[in-house]
Amino acid sequence: MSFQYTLQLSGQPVHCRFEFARNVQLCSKFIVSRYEGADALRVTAAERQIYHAAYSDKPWSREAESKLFIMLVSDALLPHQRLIFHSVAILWHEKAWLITAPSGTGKTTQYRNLKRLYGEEVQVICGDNPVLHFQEDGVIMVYPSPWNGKEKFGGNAAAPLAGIVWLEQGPENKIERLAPKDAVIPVFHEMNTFSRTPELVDQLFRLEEKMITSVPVWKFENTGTTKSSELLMKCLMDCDEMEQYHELQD
Amino acid sequence: MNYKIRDGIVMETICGTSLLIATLEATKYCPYVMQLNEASAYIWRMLFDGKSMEEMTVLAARDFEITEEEARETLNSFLQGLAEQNYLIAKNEVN
Repeated sequence: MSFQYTLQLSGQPVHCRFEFARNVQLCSKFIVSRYEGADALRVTAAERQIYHAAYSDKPWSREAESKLFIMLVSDALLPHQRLIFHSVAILWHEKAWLITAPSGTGKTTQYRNLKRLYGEEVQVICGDNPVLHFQEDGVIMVYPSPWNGKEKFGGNAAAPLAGIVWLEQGPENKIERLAPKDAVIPVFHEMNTFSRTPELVDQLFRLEEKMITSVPVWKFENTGTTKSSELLMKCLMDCDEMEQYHELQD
Repeated sequence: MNYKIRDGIVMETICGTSLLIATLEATKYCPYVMQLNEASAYIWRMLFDGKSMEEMTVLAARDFEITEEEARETLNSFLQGLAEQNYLIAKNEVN
């Protein structure tokens, strides 16, 4: 038994064939129609093999299918100048800010702290895997996706990307802007992809290049406390002010 | 020893950072990603262009202003390291 639907992600239709009904439910907000074609994306034996090689202790499950779908969909979106980036996408001052790091580093903690400190001023676009659309005008738009992480923090808004914060746990709170060459590896590791062909890898890197050269990337060593989130917000404020200043100059 | 690049290994350079990425069948044999410094990326490009060990030695000695003996030693150690990680295959082995 399987379920085929067309999802609309950042305005781009993606045909998906799910094995688990609960994954259809997870995507319900993004489903635009049923799909009958034979070319729908689905998890094949090859992807399952990759999953079992990485997580040999975990059985095949609804969660596993969902995890693999994020990478499948991201690869399918690449030729359309889109990708899915592992991060919490927050909306602040009508701009999107991505907080990225490997799972368990404290992305959600930072979002919760910011929400606690700044209330309605801070909204969430996507809690774990937003879709990024690299538009022809050079703007990178950040959109929600069905994959919001276990806390299921999701929103409806989309906004232009203004900055990327790469988190690292540490004994003190310190934030520094990274040169693009130093951002390549950390940003690359949070891109959802199977990168199975040289062509896909090339497309992925061209998009990454646009990402890390068009907006600032910060390395944020932090303790996860509200004090650390205040420092993060100060950094975003400085960046926002600087951008407004440049807009006025133009 | 001469080496060839394993099928599916690609080098990408962005913002001055070069990475080797394993794609296709190569994902079964090599680490997914490896960062190369500038000199390593230069050697990789020569290998990609199909240069022989002797040609690479002469070019590396000229461009890095070192003796051919030093160049040969550096090349051998670098290429051997990549072969150990399966990014390269010794020419007498089967892919």
